[in-house]
Amino acid sequence: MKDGTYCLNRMIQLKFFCASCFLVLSVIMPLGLVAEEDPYLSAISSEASKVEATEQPTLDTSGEQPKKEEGGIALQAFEEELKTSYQGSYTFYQKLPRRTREEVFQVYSSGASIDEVRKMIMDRFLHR
Amino acid sequence: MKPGVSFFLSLSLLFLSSMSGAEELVVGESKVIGLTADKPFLHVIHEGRSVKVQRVQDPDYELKGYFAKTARKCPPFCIQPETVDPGVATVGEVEVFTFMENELRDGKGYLIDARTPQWFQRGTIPGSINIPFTQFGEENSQEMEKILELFGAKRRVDVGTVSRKLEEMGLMDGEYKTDKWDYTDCKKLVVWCNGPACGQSPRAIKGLLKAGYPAERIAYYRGGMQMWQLWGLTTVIPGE
Repeated sequence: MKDGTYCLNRMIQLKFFCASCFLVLSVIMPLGLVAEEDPYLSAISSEASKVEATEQPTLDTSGEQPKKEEGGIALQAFEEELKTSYQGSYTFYQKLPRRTREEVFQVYSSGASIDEVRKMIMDRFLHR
Repeated sequence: MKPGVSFFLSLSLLFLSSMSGAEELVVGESKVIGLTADKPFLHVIHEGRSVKVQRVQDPDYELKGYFAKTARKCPPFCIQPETVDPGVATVGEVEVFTFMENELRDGKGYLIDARTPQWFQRGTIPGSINIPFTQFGEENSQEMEKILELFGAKRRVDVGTVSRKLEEMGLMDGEYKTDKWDYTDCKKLVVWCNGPACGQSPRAIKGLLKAGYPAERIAYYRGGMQMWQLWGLTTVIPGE
């Protein structure tokens, strides 16, 4: 009887140990794989920090000036709607510079339809 | 020939030769450092605005900063081969200028900055759109599909095995078509990154080729940001 309880306890301990090992491995292994997969990305990232953003900007532009910022909450709501309903447009919206995103939002705030806004996002992204 | 006539002819020839020499001198003394001999500058649309692309006009200008460095740790920043793929043309600055004035202006092509956003934010070639090379990795990813659609590829549905076989055999029009995509109307792309020691754009190009994008519609600007800056060409900081 005593032996039976002992065996049962050992089995429970073993199961607990296996489950722990599985949990630990399932957490650690993907991290290890990511780290192993992306040394190039890490190197690129660290190299990018060595570049100054002010190098040779011989910009000569004409056209509209940057628009002013709008209220944060409304902008968040707009971005949330875009993200939820128009994933594709949102993907490209995210790639736009901050100033252009503000411009898009201002057009949206002034009453433009979502189709117009989506077209504007693509136009801005493609420099049209 | 009479001595007087020959003297007159010699004098005329001397005068004419001195005239042509003077013309050459005028051309050589031009104050503008142009993009090419017949193109002082060009304009491209960037972020909805016209940007003048030109060279730094100071003859004593020297490149400084990151892109003036000759050495980087190798690997990973090793010198890249001249060609990414036998079907993909490697182009230089002059071809990029031509592309900017034609395909890019007419909406028939895209100039792709294939670097990660960190790099893009620190300055880019005017007219470029930033699609990091990391997004060209997975052929079936949602992002890759969006990108291919953006480039003008059309998704193919219900392509029968027989039809596909006939296309592959050349018995049906299968040029620029894969099982999943029709690339017939896809855009011309010029893909670039940091320069000859950068592997980001070659990876992007390989990703595109893997997805079946026609090699002849892709060009690799190997010089990238390093050569662009070495020539003192205009760069822009996105969002500024």
